[in-house]
Amino acid sequence: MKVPYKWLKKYVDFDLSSQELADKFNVTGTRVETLTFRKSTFSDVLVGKILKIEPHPKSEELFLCELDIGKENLSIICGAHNINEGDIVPVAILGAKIKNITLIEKEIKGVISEGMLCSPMELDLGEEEAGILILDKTFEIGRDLAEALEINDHIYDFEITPIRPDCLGLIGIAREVAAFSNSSLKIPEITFKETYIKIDDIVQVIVEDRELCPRYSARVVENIKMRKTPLWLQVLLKSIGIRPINYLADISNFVMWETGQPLHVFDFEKIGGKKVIVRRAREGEKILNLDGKLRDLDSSMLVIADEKDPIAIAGVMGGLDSEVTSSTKSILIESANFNQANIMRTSKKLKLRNEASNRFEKGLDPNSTIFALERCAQLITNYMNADIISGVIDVYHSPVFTWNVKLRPGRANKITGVNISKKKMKDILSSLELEVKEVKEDNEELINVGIPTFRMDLRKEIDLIEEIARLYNYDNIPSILPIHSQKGGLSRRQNLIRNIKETITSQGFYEVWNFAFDHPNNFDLLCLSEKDSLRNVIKLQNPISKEHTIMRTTLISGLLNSISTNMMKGETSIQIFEIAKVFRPKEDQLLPEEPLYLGVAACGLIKHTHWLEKVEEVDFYLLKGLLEKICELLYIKDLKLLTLSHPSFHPGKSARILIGRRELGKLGQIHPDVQNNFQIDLPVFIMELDCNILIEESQKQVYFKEIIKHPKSTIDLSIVIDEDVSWSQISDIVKEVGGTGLEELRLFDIYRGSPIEKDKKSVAFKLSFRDPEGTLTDREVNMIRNKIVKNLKEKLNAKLRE
Amino acid sequence: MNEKSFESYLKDIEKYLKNSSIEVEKASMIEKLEEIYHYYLGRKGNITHILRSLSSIPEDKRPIIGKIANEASEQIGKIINEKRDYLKEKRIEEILEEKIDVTLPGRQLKLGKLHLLTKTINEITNIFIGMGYIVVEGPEVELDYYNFEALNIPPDHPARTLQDTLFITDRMPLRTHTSPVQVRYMEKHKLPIYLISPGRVYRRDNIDSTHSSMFTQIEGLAVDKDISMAHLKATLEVFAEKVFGEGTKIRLLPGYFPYTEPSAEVLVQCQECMGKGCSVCKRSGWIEILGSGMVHPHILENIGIDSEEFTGFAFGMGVERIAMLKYKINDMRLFFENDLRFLRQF
Repeated sequence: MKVPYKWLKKYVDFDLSSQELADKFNVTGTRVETLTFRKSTFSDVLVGKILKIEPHPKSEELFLCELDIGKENLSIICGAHNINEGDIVPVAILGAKIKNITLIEKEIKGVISEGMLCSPMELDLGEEEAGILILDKTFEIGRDLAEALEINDHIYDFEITPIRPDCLGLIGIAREVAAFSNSSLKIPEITFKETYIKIDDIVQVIVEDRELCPRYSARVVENIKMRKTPLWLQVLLKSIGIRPINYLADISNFVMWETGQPLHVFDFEKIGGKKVIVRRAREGEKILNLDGKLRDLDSSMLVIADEKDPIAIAGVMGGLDSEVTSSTKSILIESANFNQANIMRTSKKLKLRNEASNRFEKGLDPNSTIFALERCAQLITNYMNADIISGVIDVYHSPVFTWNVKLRPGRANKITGVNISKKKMKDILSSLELEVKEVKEDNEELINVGIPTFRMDLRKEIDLIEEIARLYNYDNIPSILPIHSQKGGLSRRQNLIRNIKETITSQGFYEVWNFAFDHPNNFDLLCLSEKDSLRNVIKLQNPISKEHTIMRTTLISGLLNSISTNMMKGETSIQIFEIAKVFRPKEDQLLPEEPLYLGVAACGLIKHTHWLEKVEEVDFYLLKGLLEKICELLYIKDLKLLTLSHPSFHPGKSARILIGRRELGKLGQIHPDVQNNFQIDLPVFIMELDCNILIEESQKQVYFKEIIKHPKSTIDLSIVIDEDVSWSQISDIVKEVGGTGLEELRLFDIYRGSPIEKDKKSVAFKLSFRDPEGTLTDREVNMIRNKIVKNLKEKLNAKLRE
Repeated sequence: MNEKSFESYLKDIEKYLKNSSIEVEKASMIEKLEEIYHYYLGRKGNITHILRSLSSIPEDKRPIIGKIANEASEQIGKIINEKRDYLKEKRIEEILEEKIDVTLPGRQLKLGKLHLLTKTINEITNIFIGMGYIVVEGPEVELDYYNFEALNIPPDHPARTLQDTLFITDRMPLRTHTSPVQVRYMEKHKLPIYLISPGRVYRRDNIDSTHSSMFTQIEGLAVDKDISMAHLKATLEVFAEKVFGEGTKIRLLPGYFPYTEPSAEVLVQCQECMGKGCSVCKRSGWIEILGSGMVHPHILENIGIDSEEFTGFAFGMGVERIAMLKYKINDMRLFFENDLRFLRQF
């Protein structure tokens, strides 16, 4: 909502500069989005009167004009043919600036011109190129034109909240100024003459749906003589962001801007049967709107119809057929009140929002229709000499009256935290034009507040408390911290999630945040079968883009995309992770399941090339190492990895992860096909875990274990064993035989090749023993060692490597 | 010992002088020199012993032995000192041969980083935990009831046009704020309540430098006896000072939200110009950072809370916005592009 400073001054007396006023607006809750200064594109152009026009002595094309510009007379040469003696015209005097060009004295064919008469185009006051701008007689001769037209002004652009549609009108805003500056409002007086013809005799209005149209007021004006929109109105409309169309449309737009009440003007002659019927549209009905578009209507929409067809979508847009044109002779002005919810639904359905629907959908005061209607009629006759038909049609079945709200001053102070006196509260409320009366009820002193209907938003005591608080000024509210104590802090789960994230970053991984949306096509890229459960997704009803149509069921596609984009940007070592929700439909339940997942991805080098360190590429065991660290953090013991069969993963280099018997997730190299699909050149390793299981399986409490003071004995064992025996088979036996005395088992070498025979490997590991009872002797250690070797030989056919 | 003769003392001294000189000559470690010193000149050293047993020799010989012993002591001390200096110097020379280039890069110990959003959420969360708040989370796919209706936004409320919502079904939106979490919590728990709810939220906004269809919010709620706007103001002042630094000023201006009344937009001193006015703050010196207000009594009553006895305040902020202001980030898209060159910076 845009308002020029000088226009506000016409409606309310106040003594504040434009900036002071803006500050006041902001502090009291009418948000000034921008305050800009608009400057005319010309200066030193005065209003002049043509006294005499004579031909130029040496040119037949030119005239010599004598101009009265108040203090003096000027002689000016002009070539335009639309001027007459007595015309009032804009005169650029010597030194004037027009679009940054300075006017200097010129000699034209031997005669000196002491200035220039200006065209509308030159002054940015219209599109016509030819001819001089002829001003109306109301302009004072000698006056600066920019000043007379109030072009140089500060323009406020307000952001009006949806509950204050009254401030979508100049008068509403002026009322705010009156309230915060303690000044009085000046509402224009309305007087005009009516003809003897009665409106009821020439038109009939029938409101079929009273719920959707609580009030319909109308007037008819005849003998319209279309003319140009006056300059002041053109200037105003431009500055408030409305395109001038024609005089009638411009006037109705002006009145909407002034009062907040939208109007619609119909060409009366085009209303069939001289009947205006406010009804729901019939199925299959169509309307050709002012914007030239043909729209399908349905029975949820309210239309204004003549005896046959819709001539407007109520409150949203008029029809082309009944539009006023330059040949319009008589009009019907509609000033109506429509159901806000219905207007909102209709405008949403038709994807059509404009100044009118935007106001109606916020809920307007039905008592404002008549003032706007009369104001519009007045302005039309004032400028067009048209005849106003006697009387108003006003269909208003359930009038809305003022209502009362009781305010407890104590409650207001409890909410605001300030001690505002009752008198101050009363002053604030009265300044808003509310009726204020002190009453006593059950020994409590109350303020009874009568609410005028233009403040539809004030319904409850709390609404009045807000009015008091904002006009009292929030800056005057003190700062006091609440006194309270409760069991604050993170939950165990929240703490663990933080710890997990920190553990993962401590191992060199960067946290990423991907969108929670996904593209179904990614399932194909992940090579998932048609029946894969990951394809069972939550779909968005109104997605914003083709890429984001579903809620993700896995973090893997997002991680692969992050790797792919980083690779393309030249990264050679990428280790990332994400902890976020995935979404799964859940049977017998309205809302989906939203389990929290952890996804980790690694690609390229573990560390960058370095002068001192070996360059290594990421592999399965990097992520397994991370998994082991996370389990260590959470005191999870029985971690198990089993072979995985999953279309997105490399069949030989991936694993299911189990804790006990619970499926925690999966880990492995991404299938080379999937890797290609995501346009990644190097092997990618991914781990995806269900954080909820991780946390459920974490051990809540651990206790101190006595530290054994006796020295430890360490031995190395190197065995040759069949290729397909897994490390876990070996370690299980070693641990079992080693018993409690085995403190540590560390695998340090796997060797294949000569002199080890084919299909065999050599496995070397270090064993540390420590006995809580005392120092182990060499004999004791040897006994355990031999026992281990014997067991490995018997159970796994292992041979001690010589 | 007592009866030792004058000559035998002289002989001993001579022997000590000779031996010590050989030993010092041979010594290649400072530790060895200390041993030699100790052996001859220490508290129980040989020369010291002679000096202490002077009383056992004839009085007329005492000055002579004394003098000779003192001279020997000085002599031994001197050669030890000289050798010590020599060894020290030699040691430095030896160590210096092992010189390295200290400007070479260090070993690559690995350290990743938390995402800036996580970091900012943790930072803000910690501030409120310090004030006794708990942290509550909830579903991101929500029921219309919790996202709108319970928050005073019935289906035809004009506020619904303010935020374009992403829907799963007509009655099931993606939450547009984390307020539903608060309603769910209030339904199930006793008062007083002091909580914050961080999390992802969704809007039907095209992604550009200041908008995103997914972003992050932290909302706060306090419901207790006699909670007032003064409490809200002080709480937010603590928040602003902790996030943006001591002395950071905030300002509350009237605003509108369906779920609070009175409502307040909260502005913080522009971090770019520190309140002087610049292009970032449109010359006002202030930047809007969050919305807040007193919980609308309707909302409390809907949940079954006596709004006469209990009042509350609520506030909500965009984490991206806070991080953008604090770290001077100019494009919201950076948060979700996951470019390592961005992630490594914080």
